Amino acid sequence: MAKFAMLIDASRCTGCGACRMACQMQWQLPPEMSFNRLEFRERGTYPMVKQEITPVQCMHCDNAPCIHVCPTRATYKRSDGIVLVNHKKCIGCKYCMTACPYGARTLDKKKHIPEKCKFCADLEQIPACVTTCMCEVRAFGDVDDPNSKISKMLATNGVYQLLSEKGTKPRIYYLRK
Amino acid sequence: MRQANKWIVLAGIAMVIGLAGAVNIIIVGEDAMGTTDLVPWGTMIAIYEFFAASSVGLTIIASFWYVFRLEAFQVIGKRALTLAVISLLCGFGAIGLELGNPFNMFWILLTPNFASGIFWMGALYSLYLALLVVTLFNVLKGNEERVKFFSKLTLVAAISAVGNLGSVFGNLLARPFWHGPALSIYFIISAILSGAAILAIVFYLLEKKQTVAIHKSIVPILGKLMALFAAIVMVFTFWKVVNGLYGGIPGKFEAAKALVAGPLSFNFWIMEVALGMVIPFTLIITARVLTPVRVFYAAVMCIVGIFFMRYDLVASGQIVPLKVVEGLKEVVFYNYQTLWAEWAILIGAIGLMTLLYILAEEKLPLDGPITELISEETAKAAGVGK
Repeated sequence: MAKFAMLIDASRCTGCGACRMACQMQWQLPPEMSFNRLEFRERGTYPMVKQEITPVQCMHCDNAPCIHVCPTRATYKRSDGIVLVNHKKCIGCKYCMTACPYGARTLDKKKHIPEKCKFCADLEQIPACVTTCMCEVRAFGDVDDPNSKISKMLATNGVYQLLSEKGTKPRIYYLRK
Repeated sequence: MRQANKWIVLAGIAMVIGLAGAVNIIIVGEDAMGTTDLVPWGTMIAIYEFFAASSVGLTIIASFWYVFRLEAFQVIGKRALTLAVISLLCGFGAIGLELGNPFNMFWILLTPNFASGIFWMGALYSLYLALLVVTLFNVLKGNEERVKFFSKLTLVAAISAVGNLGSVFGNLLARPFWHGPALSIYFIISAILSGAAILAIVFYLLEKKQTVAIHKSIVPILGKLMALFAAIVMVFTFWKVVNGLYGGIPGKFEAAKALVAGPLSFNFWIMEVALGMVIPFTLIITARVLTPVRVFYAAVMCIVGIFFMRYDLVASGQIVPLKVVEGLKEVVFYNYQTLWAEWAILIGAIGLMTLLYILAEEKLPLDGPITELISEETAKAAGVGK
């Protein structure tokens, strides 16, 4: 059974925002809505400062707080690891938005549903944010398959997860610098 | 012109304002509220909390007589339970408007998630409302034995419901200022404060108009109860802020700072602390003779303060940016502004509560037994029964 995950090499990111645009085009999102974002951070003290960019999106956590808090089980996890929202069941309480430590949800104001990255589930393709990136910041694939590109990269590189201390067990890994 | 007419007109105006807000939210949707992706819960949640917790406070105070047989509280029993039902309905109205898809609620029954605080909120508050209505019905019918039985169940359901309401916030590890068991206790004690303040206001007005049977005024007793719980909430608030500032724990520290010296500081110091706790407390404990009118002013300030207390809790947990990635970021606090539709809903809910209560006062047999006749002198000093 496939288990999808993503590996992000943030050091390659130029901050061009093509991932955001590609996602918006893929899912036909309005300009203010996006399933991924870039976090810009300043590190160090003057004059030794540099800006770091970290792409952030739904982590498709194995222990997802948004799944625990959803009163109607509208948010659910598929057997392939992808966390999705069943629109029919969502009451729009936004509990998932307050519970997500990554701030990964964005409200679809027309449908009143807190939406999120779906890893481009059911499109039978690599996620748009992965394919569009000129610097190959993201790698996506099946970590249950030892021969997949992502499995090999995870095996040979040091990785970390965001906010792993929250116990969410995210499925997005970041390459150590 | 009947005395109640003035209040009906005021309640009607408030409800028209509320209706305008409701229509605005229904038509415009999320943009009619000040909430954003960054601050997803706003004033509507505070309004809901305010009414839902007040309802529990009213029930707890009513149970001082129905469950614990404290005779002083006998006179308030029926009205406290009636107000509890009305307050909860107003709260449900606010949350119904806030929900994006309230009609999908039936999925709570089909695919319930027992791990969700909001599932339990729905379950426990529904159970509480049902038991409350049954208790009130039996109280009005005079079925003493059933009242004894159901009032105990109602009290347990009420405390469970409001404790769980605290845990809806307290369960969230993502929001450090909310996280922990303290909010469940805080919601229970602040609910009693809220209930005492509402009853003090209502009974002062009723006694003044002589619509209740003349007895020794209950208002000073409610005032003392209010002062006691204001003091407990003050202690809680003090330590919550100190605990937040102490040690600079990420998320907690910034939220406490937002309250004491940040975007919420006016709300916190002036509305929540001064108006909601310190001034009412001081007014009551410094009185040589605790007159109902003094308690009334204290209660009005207190109830205004309690609303801001709810608001501050909701806002302070969310305006602190989530620290997903380490490092310096420009934004210190997220912006959250209450929009007019949300204020309108608050005004409308107060109007609805007033109107429903006036109707209940007219249609239901709420007059309690005369326990003690008030002496003319006390009545004069207290400014009641004119």
